[in-house]
Amino acid sequence: MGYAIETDGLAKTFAKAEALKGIDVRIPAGTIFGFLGPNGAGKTTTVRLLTGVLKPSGGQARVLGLDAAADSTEVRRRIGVLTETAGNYERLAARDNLVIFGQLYGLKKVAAVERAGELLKFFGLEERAMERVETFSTGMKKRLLLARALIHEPEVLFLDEPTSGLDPEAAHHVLELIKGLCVERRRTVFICTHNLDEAQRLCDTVAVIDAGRVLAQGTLKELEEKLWSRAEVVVELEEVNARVAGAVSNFAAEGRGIETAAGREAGGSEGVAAAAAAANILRIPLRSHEQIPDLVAEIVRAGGRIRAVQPVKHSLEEIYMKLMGGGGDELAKH
Amino acid sequence: MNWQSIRVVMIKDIKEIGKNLQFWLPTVLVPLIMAVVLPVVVSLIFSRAPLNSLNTGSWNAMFKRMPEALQNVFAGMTQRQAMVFIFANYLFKPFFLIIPVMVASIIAANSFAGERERKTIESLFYTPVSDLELLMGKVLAAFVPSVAVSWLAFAAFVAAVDATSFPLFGRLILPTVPWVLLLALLVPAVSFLSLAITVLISARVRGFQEAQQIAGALVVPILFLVFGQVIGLFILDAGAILAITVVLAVLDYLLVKIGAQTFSRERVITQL
Ligand SMILES: Nc1ncnc2c1ncn2[C@@H]1O[C@H](COP(=O)(O)OP(=O)(O)O)[C@@H](O)[C@H]1O
Ligand SMILES: [Mg+2]
Repeated sequence: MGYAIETDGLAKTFAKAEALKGIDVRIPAGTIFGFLGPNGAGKTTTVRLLTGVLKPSGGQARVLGLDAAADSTEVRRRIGVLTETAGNYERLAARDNLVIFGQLYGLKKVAAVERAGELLKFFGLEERAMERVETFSTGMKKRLLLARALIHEPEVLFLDEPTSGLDPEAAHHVLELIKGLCVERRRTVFICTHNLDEAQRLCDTVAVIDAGRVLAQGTLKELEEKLWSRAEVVVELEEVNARVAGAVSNFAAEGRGIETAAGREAGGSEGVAAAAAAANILRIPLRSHEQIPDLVAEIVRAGGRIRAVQPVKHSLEEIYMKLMGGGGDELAKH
Repeated sequence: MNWQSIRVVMIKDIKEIGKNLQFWLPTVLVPLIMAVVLPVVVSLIFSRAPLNSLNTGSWNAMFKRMPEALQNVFAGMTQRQAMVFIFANYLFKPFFLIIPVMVASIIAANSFAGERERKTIESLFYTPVSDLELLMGKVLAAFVPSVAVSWLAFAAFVAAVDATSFPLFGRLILPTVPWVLLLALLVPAVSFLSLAITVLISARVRGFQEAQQIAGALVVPILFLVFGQVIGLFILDAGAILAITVVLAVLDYLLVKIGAQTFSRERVITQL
């Protein structure tokens, strides 16, 4: 089906280092994909393979249905790239930078000038358009790079560490721009980052890569389900009496028990029954979050008075840390 | 082959080098000195200074060492005229090879080693421009200005020499056929060789400065031409110019073959 990017056993070995050890990713067209991993994991190498700038030493990559190595010129015509290592021409004016790249993507000079004008305006660089880029702030330079990557209306956008070196405000600004530009245009975006908050806010699907291997990929929900075999919900009651505790215990999945949030914070491990604890907050394991309405009904039937119900969600950071902690090896086999 | 891409890359490189003071100083100052200041001074000294203040002995010795064909050239000239003629037609020729070597290597060092150092070259690699188009754009960016500066300098040289020597000769002594051969054939061949060697150097050094310093050694063989003529080892007549051009053209051809085969995104990027 409609994958903008697919790789099969994509591998790259440099003189000595095995940078990529066979990665398989599938990225549906029109989605934002986060490629997460520590420094040296192989993110930039993957981008260079997908853009045909490097040739794979094994496997294959298809971008927009084209072979990234064999049809690299055509691939590059239809994609835009922003990476840390591909900078602006700092001695030239901002507008010249955009016009030159517009022309290299095949636009006629007049069209390139016009498109550059639009982008400079959109990215808030209009007033400085004729100034040398070396006089710009880091955030402005990044926005110019983003404008450059978009000059030919690419179908796929590769962003390698788009916010590195930016202060939080500038980073936020750039991310909002990316989101605005891509969500409404249904553009496919491939973002490499090690900023997990950023990825969580932006990405439809993510893959976690480490040492040249993809540890896991999918939506946050899918990853969560893979990593934590059961769901959990936190229920806050006015009071936990024996009747309520009993009802919850019975309900709790296959008798795996309940624990209180208080107990857990104190270092309690999963699956410890603590229904009778004094605390009025229960952390209840479930087969899935779908069971929450039934659980609530059960508690109410037992006379429990509920103040709040909060399904436990794992942040991308927790997912990432769990994968990096070694849990990933197991997952990669699936 | 997409000519728009080649042209855009070329103009981009020229624009960029144009913003660099390190380029303008040598490309304007050196040709100005070699093509205008020095010839005017020499020409005025030779045509105005009293004869006995010149070292006529060594000039006479040099005349005698010259081949017969050359002595015929000077037949009927006064010693003063012969001296002006010699400097205008022979001694200054190697200077017009220093100009293209310098200009071509500065630009090539900037657009290969310099672009790598400033982390901009990868930006070009992500565009649909092919490796060959990129290489051609960058080669032309060094070649065209190198030849153009040499020709402009030559035009200025002809004007300066003719203006100052006209009273002595009563006619225009430049340009001559060997000069035209030098500018039309040897200057392009030298420009190309110099930029090609600089490209090879650029792939192996850290940055612009280093590439340029190493490429500076290219001037050495030209100094050999300067002194070779002064001590009467050979003269740069039409035959010599054609012979050197042929040798350089062969070298150029070999370097083109190597360059076109080895310049690739993959290679440059793995060296970044
Ligand atoms: N040109 C190269 N030559 C040798 N090794 C390289 C080269 N480029 C990258 N590597 C190695 O490949 C691995 C992955 O690098 P990279 O893709 O840049 O990681 P990331 O972008 O995730 O930080 C690293 O171990 C790096 O040292
Ligand atoms: Mg990287």
